[in-house]
Amino acid sequence: MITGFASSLYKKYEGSTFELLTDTTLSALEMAGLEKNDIDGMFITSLPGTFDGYATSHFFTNQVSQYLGIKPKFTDMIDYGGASALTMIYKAYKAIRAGEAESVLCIVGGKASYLRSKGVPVDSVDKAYNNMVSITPFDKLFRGLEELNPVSDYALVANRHKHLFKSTDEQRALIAVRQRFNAMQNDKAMFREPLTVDQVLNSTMVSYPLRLLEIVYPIDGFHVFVVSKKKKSKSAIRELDILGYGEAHWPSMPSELDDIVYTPAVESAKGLLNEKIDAFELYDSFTITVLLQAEDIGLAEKGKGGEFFEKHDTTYKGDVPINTGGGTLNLGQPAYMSGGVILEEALLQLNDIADGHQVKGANTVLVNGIGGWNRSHSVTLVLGEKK
Amino acid sequence: MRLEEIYSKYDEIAKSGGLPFLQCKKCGYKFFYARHICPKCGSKDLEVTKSNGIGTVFSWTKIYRKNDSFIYGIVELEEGFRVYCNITEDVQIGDKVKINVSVLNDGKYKILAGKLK
Repeated sequence: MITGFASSLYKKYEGSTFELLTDTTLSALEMAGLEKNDIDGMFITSLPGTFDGYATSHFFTNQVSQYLGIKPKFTDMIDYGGASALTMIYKAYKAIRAGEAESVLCIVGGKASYLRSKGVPVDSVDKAYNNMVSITPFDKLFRGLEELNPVSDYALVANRHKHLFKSTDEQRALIAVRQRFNAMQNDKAMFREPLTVDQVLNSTMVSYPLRLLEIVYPIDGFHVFVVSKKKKSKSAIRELDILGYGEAHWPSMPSELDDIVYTPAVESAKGLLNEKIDAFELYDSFTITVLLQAEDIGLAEKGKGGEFFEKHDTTYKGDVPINTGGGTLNLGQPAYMSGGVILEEALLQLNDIADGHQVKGANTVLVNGIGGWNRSHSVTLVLGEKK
Repeated sequence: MRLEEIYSKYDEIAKSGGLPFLQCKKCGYKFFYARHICPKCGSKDLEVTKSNGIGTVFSWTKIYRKNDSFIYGIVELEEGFRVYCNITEDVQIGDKVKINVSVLNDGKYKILAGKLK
């Protein structure tokens, strides 16, 4: 079960990435009532450029264990970007059930401020390191182009969605507005001022049709989750189980997919949607990402995601609560990955400690993470208590 | 064909402005992003061909910087495969375009689509 979790989010953290990771880990261990010496398994993820500015780290998990001073039996890198946090939780539960470990650390995050200062978006990280990082196996054919990935990639999806299904800019803006409403009640949120559809539509156009207020702001920060056999603390954390799980990997260049308006959530969420789900935490790198998942997990028919947000109140008080804490669009995106933010919000809801934005009687929450280069990976988890 | 040989044939076509692509002789699949096996059926029986360069805009986005803007998109070629490219002027999805390739100093491809007049 998940016995402890913690986050630390900063617009810019002036210290070392190791230090920030360690302090967040200690907070999560404290909640679980465990000592660092209890840790016998560790999952972590990292993206180029997000660990003290290095393009990459030699034997990364070893470095992290070295700094933390832990001796886990196994360590593993999960390489799905924003979806990694959810994969880690699933793998940690499995390892514990199989008797391979008793206490597993799941760590996501890093510092985005270095790449941010270079003016380089994460999927163009090669440009910050003089092409010493590869982006695809086809960089000769792809990296001669001018783009702003991942923003421009999602913009292509949003524009094609508009063309195929007549979805509107107003419908996407509504997603940002609803999430902001939820964020206004969340003291972890960076953006808490009221927001209107007009303000979203009038914000700076970044990559048509995506405007500034539809796009996450990359920040520095970590989320650490402790999955352990037993909790040793007296904290009132609920004994949560994974009630549903699905995972799908679509590694193709999006141009080689049948269409770009589907995400692998179509496969990862298959059969997991049911009436018992009280809230949804959906990956929110951009407004369009949320709209696509509403369709792909089955809340709305394909193409009707925009209408879905018009018909339903998706605030934490509404009939279909989505991104109940305001999501990464308002908390900021630690090291270019939103998975920790949506998972932590699900845990706050399930433990009835989402102060100010608590969904009444949240017993079952569906979390969907999307990650990897150009939406290549999706993980769906349904969390709740096993009856 | 080894990948090196595929790229040497690609460069020959691209250096004269053409758009190369691969066709699988076993299953017929056509693709641009070069591999020495067919991503669909796994066959190594592949052929490098020159596209006629004519296609339609599959999607596009205009990216705004401080002092300028540029267009990035996906074009579906008449032969049935798609490529990422930059686009020289304002377009709509479905517009007919012609693609021109140039090879940059570092060997990378600059793929440009312009409206077919």
